[in-house]
Amino acid sequence: MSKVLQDIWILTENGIVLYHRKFDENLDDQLFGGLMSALNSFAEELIDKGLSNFELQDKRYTLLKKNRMLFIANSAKKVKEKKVIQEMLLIANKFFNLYSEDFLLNWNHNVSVFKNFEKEIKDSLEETIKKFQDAFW
Amino acid sequence: MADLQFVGMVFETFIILVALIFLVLILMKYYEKKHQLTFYLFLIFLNYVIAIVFSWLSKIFVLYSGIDYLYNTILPDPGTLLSWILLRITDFRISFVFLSIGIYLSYIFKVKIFGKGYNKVLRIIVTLYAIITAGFALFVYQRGNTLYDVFAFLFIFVFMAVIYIPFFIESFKSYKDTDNKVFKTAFLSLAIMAIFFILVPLSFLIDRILILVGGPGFSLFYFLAWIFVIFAILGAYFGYISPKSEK
Repeated sequence: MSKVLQDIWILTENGIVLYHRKFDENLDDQLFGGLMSALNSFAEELIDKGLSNFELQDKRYTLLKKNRMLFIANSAKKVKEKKVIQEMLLIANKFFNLYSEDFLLNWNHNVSVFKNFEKEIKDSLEETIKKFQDAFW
Repeated sequence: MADLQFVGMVFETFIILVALIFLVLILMKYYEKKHQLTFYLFLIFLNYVIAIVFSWLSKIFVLYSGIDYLYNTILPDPGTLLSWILLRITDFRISFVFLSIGIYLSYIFKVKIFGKGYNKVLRIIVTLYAIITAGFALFVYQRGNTLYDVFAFLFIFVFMAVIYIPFFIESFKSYKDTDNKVFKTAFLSLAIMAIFFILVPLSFLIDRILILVGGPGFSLFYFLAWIFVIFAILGAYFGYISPKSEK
């Protein structure tokens, strides 16, 4: 699961970060969430489907909108976009399996309830590589 | 037979030197990284090295100790505490205890590094198996009974295979999934290391079976086993120590 994705954000339409898997520690969750949401709103004004990806330095940020939620992930530029979207769809499906539409509608704006999602996407290659880097490489 | 013991001792001396160099490299890596997983790897290899040292000691005792019941199996076991320890050293039983500890630590290491979490039932089974393997090596012993030795080697081989086959699968999957050349080489090296780790006790087991059916010991498989140890250490070196990544 999630073999190519590094940071992963899950946001509401108005930019509240429900979940963030940190790969790069230097980013502020809520600040980034607001920026992504604003970017996406702006892009929706321009094109129907919204922004799908953009590149910053050596990373590509991919946006996926599903059930009024925004899924954002970054990956190395050279990773194929199709592969990234496949992984993101898997994550989105896992998210909606774990948190039903009813749950999200009645959600009390406490983001800590989404902390369990970490377990669902924990076994990623990126995580393994990070452990190897921390311990050995 | 004494000649073969001597050749075995020289062979094992060389293996110990290589293994010690690798152990020092892991220790240096630990001081650089100060990470729990690096320490686990150090403990794993420390146990493997101690196991090899005891195997080497068995040759030393047989060749140079002058203790007659160690090299002459016709003489009775004096039944002292010292003979209890020495006979278990010469028949590799102490080595098996350290191997069992090393393999058990490898299981913990594998779970931690590949991040799948513990399976409660499997954890209990692996723990029990480690205790049984070490217990069998120490207590189910009869001097000159090669069948018991074969079982002791079999237990170690099965244990090694059960832990290192999943390790191989995870490393190989990671090798296939990553695009980074450095990581690819490292994961492939670890997959190769896992295979050689399994081949080591398999070769010793075959060597023991050959003794059971009347062979003199120190067959080709004995030497192959030690060659596989060298390859496994090389795999570990290229998997853990040599890769340098840019974070």
